[in-house]
Amino acid sequence: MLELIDVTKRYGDTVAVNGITLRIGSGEFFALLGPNAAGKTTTVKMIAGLLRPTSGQLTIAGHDCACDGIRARSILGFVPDIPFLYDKLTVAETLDFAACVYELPVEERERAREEMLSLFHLARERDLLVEQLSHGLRQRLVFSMAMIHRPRLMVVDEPFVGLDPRSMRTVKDVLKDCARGGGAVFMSTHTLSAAEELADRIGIIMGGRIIALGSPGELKQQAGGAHQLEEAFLQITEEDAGS
Amino acid sequence: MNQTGVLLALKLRLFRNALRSVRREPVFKTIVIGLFIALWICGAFTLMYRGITFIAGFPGVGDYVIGKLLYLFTLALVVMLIASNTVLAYPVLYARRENTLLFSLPLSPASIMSCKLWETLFLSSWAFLLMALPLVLAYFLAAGMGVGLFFISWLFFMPLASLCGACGALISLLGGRYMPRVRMGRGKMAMLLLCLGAACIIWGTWGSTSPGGDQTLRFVNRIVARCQFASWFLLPSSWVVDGIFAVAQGRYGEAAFRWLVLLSNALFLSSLCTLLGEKLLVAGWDRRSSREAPRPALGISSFLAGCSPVRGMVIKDIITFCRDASQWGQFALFFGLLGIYVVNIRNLPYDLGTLFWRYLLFILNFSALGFTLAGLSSRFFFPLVSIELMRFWFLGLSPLGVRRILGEKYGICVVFTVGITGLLALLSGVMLRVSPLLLASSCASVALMGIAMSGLSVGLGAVYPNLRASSSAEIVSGLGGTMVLVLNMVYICGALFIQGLPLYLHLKGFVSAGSLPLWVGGGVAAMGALSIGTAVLSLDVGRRRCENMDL
Repeated sequence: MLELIDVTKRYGDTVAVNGITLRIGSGEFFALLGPNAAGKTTTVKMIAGLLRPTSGQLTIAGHDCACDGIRARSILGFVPDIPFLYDKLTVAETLDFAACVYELPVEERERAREEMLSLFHLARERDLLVEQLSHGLRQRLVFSMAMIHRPRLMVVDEPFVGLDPRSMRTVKDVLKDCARGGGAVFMSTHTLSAAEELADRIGIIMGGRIIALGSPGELKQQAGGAHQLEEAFLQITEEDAGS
Repeated sequence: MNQTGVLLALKLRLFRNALRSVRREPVFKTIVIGLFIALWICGAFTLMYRGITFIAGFPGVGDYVIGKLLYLFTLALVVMLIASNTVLAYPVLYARRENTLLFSLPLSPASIMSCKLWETLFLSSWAFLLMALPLVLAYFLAAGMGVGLFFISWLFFMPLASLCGACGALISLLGGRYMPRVRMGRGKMAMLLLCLGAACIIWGTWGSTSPGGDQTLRFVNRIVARCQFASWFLLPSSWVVDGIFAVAQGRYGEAAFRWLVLLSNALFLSSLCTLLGEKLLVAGWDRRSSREAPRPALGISSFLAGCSPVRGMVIKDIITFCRDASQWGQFALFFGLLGIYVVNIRNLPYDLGTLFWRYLLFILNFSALGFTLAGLSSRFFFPLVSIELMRFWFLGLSPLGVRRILGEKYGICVVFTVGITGLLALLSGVMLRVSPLLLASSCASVALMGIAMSGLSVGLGAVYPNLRASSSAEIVSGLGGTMVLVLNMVYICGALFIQGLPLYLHLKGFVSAGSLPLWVGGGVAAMGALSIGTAVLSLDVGRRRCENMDL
């Protein structure tokens, strides 16, 4: 579903992402972990088409993001770490706009909007302007925008920040359903418990390179039989920093 | 609906919702802004009408000169429109947070570019409409061309606005993609600015004419000669004016030809913009997003270590201003206009011998200095308090206290605005060859105006903070910004009255030449009282509001 081949991104002389190669298949839930400034958000932005790789190739469901960006993005749902929303649109209008942009058939748009409003518990707020929403409600709206076209690949950057436990559960369920339904999820996060609970595979990025890759169990083994993912993460990143 | 249509429908809906939310704004705010717009329209109309009527009254040459003035006026509009479109288009194309959403959606860059072109055009044109409408109407009425022709002229002005919009967007698009990043040291930068300033002064003082002969006629001749370039046949502004004159003279075929030339050029440039946008927009965005972080300003920021809190805040304000690229465009535009003003001072007829002309030019120059001060303080320093209050969770809890925080902002504002306008007062006074008495008086008055207007900007910045705005331009465009602008205008009127009264009385013969210095000195003292009173009152109200504010 998602393939990164030797992808590098430089900001001037600074190498943010250094030759990452990754393959994420259909039905897979992948979590990218890493300390601050490790290159997580840059990787996510390159997948979403917000940044161009300095070198390397990035494909989504076989579509090269550089040559066939529009088709690649049409099967992607993206939730950024700091999402942008139009303050002067209502919740319903925002979803209508998203449905329009993803070219959903006209007769399906209303149904999709209602489904998202119901799924993310936003029905009561449908006529409120976005500027009137709390942080958690905004985050739920961002998810409903990203999922309105039933994307085959969900790319989410720090999805749980500011969500209440109930909303967090909803988001986790929705993401799991996306992966189980034959799609794929690429999640960048600092919430290790969520990564451990949800991810089939976890990659740890540091200094722009993937330093560890495997299932949660494999990573714990790699860290000398750690009991918790947090323990394994700290040990792996510490070892790499030391080497 | 195609992608551009979807995006334009979105923008229309946003605009409609924003208009609806005006109903939720305080009535007082709506009234103040409405009143200010009405005052502006009436004031601009009256001034333009009187000016054109005055020029039309020149025996023999009046009609000829006002014909040439329309060419010059339209050319000035073109230059201003292209400049404002360029300045507006850059953030719309490359700096908006909206782009993080749009570029992640399956939208073609051409459709995004097309929508942004329309958006820039709209953003710059509504101000153009507000600015130009009363002026153009006054021109047509005073020149005896009638209201009918005024409405027809908009058929020409609209494609002209589109042409300028496309031009501005094209410049920004290409600039964002290809403009080389020059890393210049502060020494080189200061040297470059000094050279530019010196070039302006030399250009401004070069070629001044000496008095003699029929001076009024020579002045008119000089103005007409300098306006010739504005009617050059390749300038779009001349197509507009030629078209309007053709309609006025019943040559409809020629008018239609001019209109079609304008329209085809506007359409060509818009299509070129969209075409290039497809190739360059995403690349330009990527280039901007992939740039290196700014180098730490070692020379300045090293002062932060071990300095006093207030000095630390001053340094912090300077550093953040220098690194905020969104301020640079308006800053450059502002100083560009000032440069044009200085360069053109030499075209003013300061060599005309009559006292009336010299006093008139002195007062006009003084009012220009006042408007410069008002623009500087309200645009760049009024938002500073709101920006600081957004971080009040930190500064508000620090031992600094509101008084010192506001005092620091006020200090920077006074030093900066008085420094620039004081220099301008000195320079323009010397170039206009005003007497030493008036030169000293204008320099002292400008300093006092800086003290008062800085107080108004900082004080009202604390009274009307905007803690939700995403940019300083947005803060200025709110109620507080409008209030500052209105109060600055009222203050300038007061200052002009105080400055102008002794000169008027001298011209009327009520004040003798011997006692004029005393009257001028008295005027400066009165301005001092007015200015210090205004500053103290504004800052005190601001401080009290800040101390009792729930953040």
